Amino acid sequence: MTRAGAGALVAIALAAALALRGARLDVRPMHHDEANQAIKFGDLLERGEYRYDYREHHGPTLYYLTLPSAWSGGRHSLASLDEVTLRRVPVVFGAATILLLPFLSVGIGRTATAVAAVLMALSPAMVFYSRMFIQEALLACFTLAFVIAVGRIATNGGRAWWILAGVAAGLAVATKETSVIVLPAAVLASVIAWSSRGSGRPRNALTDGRWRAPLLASLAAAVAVAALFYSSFFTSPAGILEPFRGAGTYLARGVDPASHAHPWHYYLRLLAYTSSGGVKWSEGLVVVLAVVGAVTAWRQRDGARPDTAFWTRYLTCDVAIAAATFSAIPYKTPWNLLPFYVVAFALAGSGFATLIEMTRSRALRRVLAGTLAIASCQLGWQAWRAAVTYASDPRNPYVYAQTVPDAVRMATRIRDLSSLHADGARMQVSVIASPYEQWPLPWYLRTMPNVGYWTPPPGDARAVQAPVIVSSIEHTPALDKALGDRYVAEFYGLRPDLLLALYIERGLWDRFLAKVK
Amino acid sequence: MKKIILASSVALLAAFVSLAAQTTPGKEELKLKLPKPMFIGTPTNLKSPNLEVVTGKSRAPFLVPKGTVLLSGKKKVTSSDANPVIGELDMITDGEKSGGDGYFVELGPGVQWVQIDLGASHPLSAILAWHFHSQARIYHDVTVQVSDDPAFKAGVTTIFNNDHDNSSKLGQGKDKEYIEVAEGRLFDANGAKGRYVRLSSKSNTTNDLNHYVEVEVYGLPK
Repeated sequence: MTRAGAGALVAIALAAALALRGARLDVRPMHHDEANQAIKFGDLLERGEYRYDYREHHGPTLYYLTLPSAWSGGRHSLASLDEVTLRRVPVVFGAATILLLPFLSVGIGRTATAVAAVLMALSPAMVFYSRMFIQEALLACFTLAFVIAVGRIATNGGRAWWILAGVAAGLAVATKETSVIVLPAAVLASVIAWSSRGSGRPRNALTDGRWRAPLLASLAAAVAVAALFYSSFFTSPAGILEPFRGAGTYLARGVDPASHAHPWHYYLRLLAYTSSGGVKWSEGLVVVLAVVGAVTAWRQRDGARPDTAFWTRYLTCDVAIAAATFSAIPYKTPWNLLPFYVVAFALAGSGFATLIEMTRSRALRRVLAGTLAIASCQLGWQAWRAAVTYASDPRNPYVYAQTVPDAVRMATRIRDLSSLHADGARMQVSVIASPYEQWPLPWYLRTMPNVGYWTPPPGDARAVQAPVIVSSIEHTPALDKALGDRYVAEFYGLRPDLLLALYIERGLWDRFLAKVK
Repeated sequence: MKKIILASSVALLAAFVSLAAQTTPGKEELKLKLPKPMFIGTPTNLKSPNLEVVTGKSRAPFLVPKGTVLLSGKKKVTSSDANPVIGELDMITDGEKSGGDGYFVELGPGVQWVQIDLGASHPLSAILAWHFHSQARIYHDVTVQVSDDPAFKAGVTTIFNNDHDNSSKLGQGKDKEYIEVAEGRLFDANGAKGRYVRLSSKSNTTNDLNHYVEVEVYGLPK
């Protein structure tokens, strides 16, 4: 493929990526993880306060990197924020990840790079999680940058790659704790791939004995970047040690999870094929091409294009080590696949390029290219369904413990009721539910300052004096007894299989009915 | 002693209900063929003034006039959503009530209705509906109406309406919301006469869409 052709394909992929990732960003209700992070970001936005909390939250980059998005939109308070302002941050990083792929061109070739860009742009998993205000899109971006930098170092890259590797590692560490899996996986993979080449090993700083100074510079860059974020830009130096304190918590959660335990094949199955409620999904195209890339990587002879052989083996090892590690850990959430899946696209691109090279007939090559184009369109259609049509539907395999639209309707109902109350937005609302059943209500009721949250049992009499009460289902018998017929009750879904009751003072309800009539 | 009294009372009540079913003149028990339950653990702690009590037990026998038959089998179904997201409208009257994949019709978001044309006007005894029973859900603003007018503009009898804030604009209903279960929801038509039966809903507690597995309309042939 010519340089212009590859460039054009990457540009088209980028445009498609931005379109899929940026369209109707507010269509999916806020996941409770997103809402939780949004509230924490609100503290940073309003008061400049941020402290890393290893018990509940991941690294600080997401919050700090969201500040420009809020400021550029003239938003300086939690109440003024909206879903689009928050979610466009992972959108930017999701698209930026595609722009990193051309740096792989020297290793895997232009055809492989262009195909990888197209597949990554249209992947339902990549699209879906690049529209979610969580750390994964950022971590995937920093991970790929680190993988590329390490590969370039191993193939005699200049000092800039050492620094880039350090910066990328620092950013990954400051993003999420799972960086301790993906960063060593890349280093180990490069060592295995490099060693496997025998006499065909690429020359680099390690073989020339010029590695100490650049390695120190790389480590210094990584530590500086991570420390900058964890110390809240050196306003809280003790924060630098917090990730170490959290190591035990995350290790215990990963090995012996109280929830989110899934079998080892969870990620593979998620990508290969799922079917639920009449809706089918598959990213088998990427998986199959990546397997082709992996298998052929080890069949190339040592003499032929040593750098390419190293790169394909390196990428194979990296995906295999990281995927195996994530699969071996009982704790699994679907977005955790991104940090290894992001590298698999390069491998899939390499797999397709190998198929083209192995095909001598020009007509057959056209058939292969046409098949890829059609399959890519189908992948893009799935991505649209995942991101928009089935954005919060439990049948979407990327949806996980997702807030349902009914919860948004409940929040709208509460705000509508407050407009008819003498206190307006300052009307008291009591939420009586366990913390798991409270989120994402703090996000949806962020414009109402008098929302109180009680974890049951509600011994506080003030909890049942509010004109509007939200309650978990298990407390409805007690509330019915306490409230009598002074309140009207409605029911709303919060998440699949999880309902909440909304109690409305009868007088307020009557005013509401009079208004809607 | 208290236990003996309680057990005796329950046994007496059961015997009375059974006897009543046998002896009510002109009435017989409506025999229904129900699908297997798809989820275990219906939340029986759900008790609230605006929600039907979930007992976790089977529905009591429902008495209908002698000669009552299923009128809706294989009858034509139309809908506000002519192109369902999933499935075909004729699945609503095909007799298949399983809660699994491939047995339900998925209609678009917001207020949607389905309408069954019985072919002629009949006095109706009962309407049995399954929206979706593989998950504990509440469908909002459920209304069931009967009419001889296919446009439902004249001569409309409302059999059930739980749209308590009239957000579907079909009138404010006083009936309670209910959780979908495998035995479906039985609506007492109480002799209402009509050729067309229309069921309406507005989204549910899990997603924005509307679903129907099956609707059965029972009544006298003429």
